[in-house]
Amino acid sequence: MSVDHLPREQLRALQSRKLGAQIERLRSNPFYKARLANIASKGSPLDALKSIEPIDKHQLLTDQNAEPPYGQRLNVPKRDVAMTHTTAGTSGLGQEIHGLTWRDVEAAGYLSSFAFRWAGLRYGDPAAFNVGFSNSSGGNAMLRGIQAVGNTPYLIAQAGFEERLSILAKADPVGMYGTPSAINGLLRTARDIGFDIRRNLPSLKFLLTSAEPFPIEWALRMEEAWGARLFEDYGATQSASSICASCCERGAVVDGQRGHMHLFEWSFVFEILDPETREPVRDGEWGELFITTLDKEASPLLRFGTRDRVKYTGTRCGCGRELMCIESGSITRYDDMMKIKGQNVWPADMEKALFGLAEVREFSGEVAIGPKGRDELYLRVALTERGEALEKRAADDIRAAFKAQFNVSPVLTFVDVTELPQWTTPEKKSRRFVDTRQKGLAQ
Amino acid sequence: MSAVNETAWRRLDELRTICADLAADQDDAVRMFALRVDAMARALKDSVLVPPDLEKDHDSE
Ligand SMILES: [Zn+2]
Repeated sequence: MSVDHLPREQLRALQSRKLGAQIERLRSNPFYKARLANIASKGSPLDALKSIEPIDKHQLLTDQNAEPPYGQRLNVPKRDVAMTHTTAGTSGLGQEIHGLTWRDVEAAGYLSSFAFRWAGLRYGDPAAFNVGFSNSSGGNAMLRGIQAVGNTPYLIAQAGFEERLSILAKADPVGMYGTPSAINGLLRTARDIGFDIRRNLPSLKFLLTSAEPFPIEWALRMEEAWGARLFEDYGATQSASSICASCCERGAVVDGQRGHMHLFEWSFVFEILDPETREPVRDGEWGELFITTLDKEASPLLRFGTRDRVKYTGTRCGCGRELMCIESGSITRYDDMMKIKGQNVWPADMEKALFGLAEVREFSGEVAIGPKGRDELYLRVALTERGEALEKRAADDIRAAFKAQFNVSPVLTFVDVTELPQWTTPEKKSRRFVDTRQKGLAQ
Repeated sequence: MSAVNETAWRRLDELRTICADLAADQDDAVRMFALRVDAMARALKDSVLVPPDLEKDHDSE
């Protein structure tokens, strides 16, 4: 039996054993000492974990600023750090840095290999690697993930899309790893230059993707166009330095519905908690993913709050594994959330609602303080055609959709598409929704 | 627990004993080899294999 097929009870026993050892290892660590002071050595470590104060990104940055570069949380001598992984720094708060020992480096590969094995990569199979290299965890861990079971004769991320396609045709891989944007871009280029993907890549069985959410329709379209099944993996640089969840053999979309990703519970403890009450969510509910590493040596983490918003989907799957699952294709960031008139609203959900209406071509939204001093959502919408009748119908549709889904009534203006910021400054990577309330309050 | 897993676990431990010997070598490349092979063995055990004594551990809980 392999570790991913452990029955739930044995899995808990393994977690308990590893966590107990981890807590003992961290008792003298300056970053963790105070957090563990009230945790007894006797009793169930998994129960004890719940009373340890969670960690967030701010605390990690404060720690590493106080003791650069790795912070006091580094639990090995500095000279044992073989590689480092850093976060992208897109939060604007700063870049986290996480050390890895050689064991951690190799473990990142072995853990990531489950994504490829479940997707169908077998001993010695060639796979194509579509992600660039840097200190980010994605490239390193995933390349080692393929190499843990298969071969990587061709790296393709360094080439333009057209050249990537010609390399792919020579390599004839059984699978390819890349972001949704890259998979999409390759397909578009293939169509532009008349490259027949199915004919040129006869061995391709799977596409493995991560890092961006995607609609079901997109997944189905990619599977059809590439003649391969789509799979997704999930990882958090902060705590895992490898991936820690992936779709099983059933894929990212199962019978037209979103499939799920299995969490790698044999090497981590996961908690999916309501971000406000910090109570565990139930099957089918959304929550924030908290990660505790069980094996990592250099930069271990206890109860790190990822700020990733995931949908918990229970511990049962048609594949027979009993690991906790999260929904595939729908992970977003809590930090993207906007609170409008007391309602939690995600820009991605509003975009989906608007683009779900056939008459909507493009739009931009602004959450601002209205004339009565209250939150207002201002929507500027460009329709496929101008005209009073169409605008009347669109206004009804949009109001009904926003009332039903978000309990928010937007202030609507219809504009020409050329008046929208996406049109006037397309080179600027602008978000469709902006929040100017802070600015409004400062005035 | 399947015998295959148990055999791999035991053989990896033997490999680690060999690595411990090699770690005392005078050549830096040999020492680094020992460090990295030992790290691979431990990572494989942590990330892929089931500890053979897990069942025993579980029963005694
Ligand atoms: Zn499954």
